[in-house]
Amino acid sequence: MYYKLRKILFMAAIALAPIAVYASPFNQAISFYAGYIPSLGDNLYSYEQQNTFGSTNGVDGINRSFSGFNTSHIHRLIGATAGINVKIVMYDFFALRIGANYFKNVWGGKGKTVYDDGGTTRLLECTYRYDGFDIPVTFGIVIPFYKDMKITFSCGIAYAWGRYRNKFESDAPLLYRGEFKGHDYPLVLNVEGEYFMDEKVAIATSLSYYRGTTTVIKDSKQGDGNTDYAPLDFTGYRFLLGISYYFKPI
Amino acid sequence: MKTVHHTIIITIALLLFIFIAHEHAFAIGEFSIGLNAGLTHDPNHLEPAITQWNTQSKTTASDVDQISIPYSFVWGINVRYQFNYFLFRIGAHFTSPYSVRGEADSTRVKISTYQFGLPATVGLIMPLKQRAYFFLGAGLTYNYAYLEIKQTNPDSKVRYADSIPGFHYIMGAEAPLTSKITLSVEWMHQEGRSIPIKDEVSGTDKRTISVKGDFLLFGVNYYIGM
Repeated sequence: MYYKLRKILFMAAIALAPIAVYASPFNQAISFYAGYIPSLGDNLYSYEQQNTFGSTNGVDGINRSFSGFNTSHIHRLIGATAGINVKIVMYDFFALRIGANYFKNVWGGKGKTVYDDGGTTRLLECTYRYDGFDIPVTFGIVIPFYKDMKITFSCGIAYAWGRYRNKFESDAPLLYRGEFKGHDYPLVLNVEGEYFMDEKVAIATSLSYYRGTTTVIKDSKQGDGNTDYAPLDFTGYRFLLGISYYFKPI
Repeated sequence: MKTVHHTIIITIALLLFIFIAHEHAFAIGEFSIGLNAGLTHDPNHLEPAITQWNTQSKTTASDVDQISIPYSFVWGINVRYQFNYFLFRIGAHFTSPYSVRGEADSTRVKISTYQFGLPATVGLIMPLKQRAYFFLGAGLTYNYAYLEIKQTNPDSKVRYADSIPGFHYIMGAEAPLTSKITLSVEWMHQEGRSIPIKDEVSGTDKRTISVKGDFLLFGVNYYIGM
């Protein structure tokens, strides 16, 4: 842990080194963001949902109702995310952004449905959870807009690690639990707008779009007697609000 | 043969557009030509089929080397004409992933695919400072998609190829390097799905190809006639 921390501090020192030269064509900014992710994990497909519960498209197809059963709608996940970004602005117009974000589901992914258990309709309680982190690296263009605004448009790639967990429980009795952990390198697009309150501090909004899916991952949850398979999907939009601090006046 | 015809027609159309646009570009506004290179994920939207194959293999075979959903380099050119706040852009891009393979016990699968796109865009451009722009646009796309899936044990081969109409939207930014040369970053999202295409090998099976996808493009642009 100590070694990792030293490595991170060393990398940060390299990234921030150009500010030592006041007249250099580089400027650096650090931003803190928080926001939300609609459809976190996309449809949360897994093999057992298709094989046992008849849903070929995960949470989208699992919702059913039947007379005499008290079901409740299972929504796609909405996630919350928070993170930090370091931006190096070069020659006023070009920017390199490196970030670190944590995300976790905060709403949806829980409810009751029914499934066909060999001719018998049964109530099924479903729970989906998803969390992880990512490190996006993007390169793009900074456009000064009037005197007190900047728009940054950048594209790149991220290292994304995710963990998807699901649980299906019925009175059959039946209990399926799945946990899938893995990483991928999704493509990343970022549009960021900053409004400067003074020469160094800005309020920022950001829209990010990630696109990437892992191969199929084997369930690592032991003890329920079943082995499930699922990909991790990082595709989706992120809407963020934050604050930026520039090390040199703009 | 069909592919060669398409390529010739598209190349001629593009050259004509460049020639005509250039001839008339001096009257008003600005004309530019650009080279693009970038990255896309999952060209021809093979993800559902690949995930299905991977899942089936993992649940039935003992030794599986899964098919990865491919990333692919994109190459292209674009010509643009802009005046005041309006932008007209026509582009051409090509993408083909290097290697898409999988293995499940003694069964091997190889997917060969490529996509050619010809997006025509109308948009709004915000000239901000010097030659710095931010632009948003949308338009129609002509796509040509090719997909071949070969499998061993049991041996099989299917091949689908056809033209696919679609649409796209694009967002980008541009900044000056010199008074005539700029660097750009663009994101293009495109949608489109073919009608069921007949397998060229068997002549009977049919499937659709989706060209839904995202392109991240970095470009160098040269302005003419200023």
